[in-house]
Amino acid sequence: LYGERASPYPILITLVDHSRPFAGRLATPEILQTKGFTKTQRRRSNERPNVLPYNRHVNAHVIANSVPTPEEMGEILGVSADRVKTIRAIMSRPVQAKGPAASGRTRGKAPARKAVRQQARRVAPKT
Amino acid sequence: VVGRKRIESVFLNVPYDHEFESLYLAYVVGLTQLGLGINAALAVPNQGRLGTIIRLIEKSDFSIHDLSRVEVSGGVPRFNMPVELGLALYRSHVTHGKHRVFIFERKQYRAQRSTSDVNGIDPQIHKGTIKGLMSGLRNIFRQPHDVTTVPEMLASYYAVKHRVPELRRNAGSKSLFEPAIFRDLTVAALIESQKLIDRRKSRTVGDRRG
Repeated sequence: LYGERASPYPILITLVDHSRPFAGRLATPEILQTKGFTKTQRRRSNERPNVLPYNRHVNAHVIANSVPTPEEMGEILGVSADRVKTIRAIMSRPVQAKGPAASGRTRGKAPARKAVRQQARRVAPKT
Repeated sequence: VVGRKRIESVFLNVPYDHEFESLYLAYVVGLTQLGLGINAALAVPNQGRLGTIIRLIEKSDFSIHDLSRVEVSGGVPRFNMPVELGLALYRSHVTHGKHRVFIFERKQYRAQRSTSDVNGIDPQIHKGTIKGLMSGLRNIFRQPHDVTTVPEMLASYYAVKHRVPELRRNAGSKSLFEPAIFRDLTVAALIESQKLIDRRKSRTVGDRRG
């Protein structure tokens, strides 16, 4: 707002960061109460934006800590050192390969039926 | 917090039902492998549940909300996920954006339709797949040194998944959503992560020698 005359009434100015149109909906608008006509103050580039960025446009967050060891995590979670050892033992065991029965791919009754057919063929006289 | 080491943590807001078990396991393995602690409202009784959830959100640095199962169940829409999302958004508001909120969805633009107030947050679309979920996690979190790749995360996921029956038997848990098995899964994921880091280190040493 630009003006030369001073207004007798206070003016409420709502600042919305239009560069972030969607984020603006979520934030409480910053309300400036000013007396008289004043020039709307522009936000400087190094100032904190008046709109709260909830996920900062999905900028990846750089994790501050390195990956903890299982023992460190065990301590946080209240898992004893023995239990961590047990889990380590389970994880180091080779995974057993599934047989055809376990994987659900059984041969079924087809071979038996085939044998019956062949038997019948052998027994039946040639015409 | 261990000694001087502080581990950043995530509040995980996902549906706790049998159909979601695979994706839940993927969240546990993926987040743990990236070096994050997980705060989840597991086995919390209905009385005082809301207070527990608020405390968990307060002590977390981020929150992840999987809205893929916000659907009508028995004629009534399931609103627990959006309620918790609202709590996390308020937390983000009062902490001036320090607490960051991330949304995961199964379908593109579904979150924008179901909860249009969160249009400012771009959801990560996992399409109900483990790979999609791991990619989403890698989109929102980066590691400074130990750069875990999506194939590595998938390999760890399958390694843990194959041991789930034994881990479940060991913990005496009927489902994966019990605190005992949750702790074991977290430790198991870190053991796999450690294997990866060791393998990567030995490869680097080998390359230098070669």
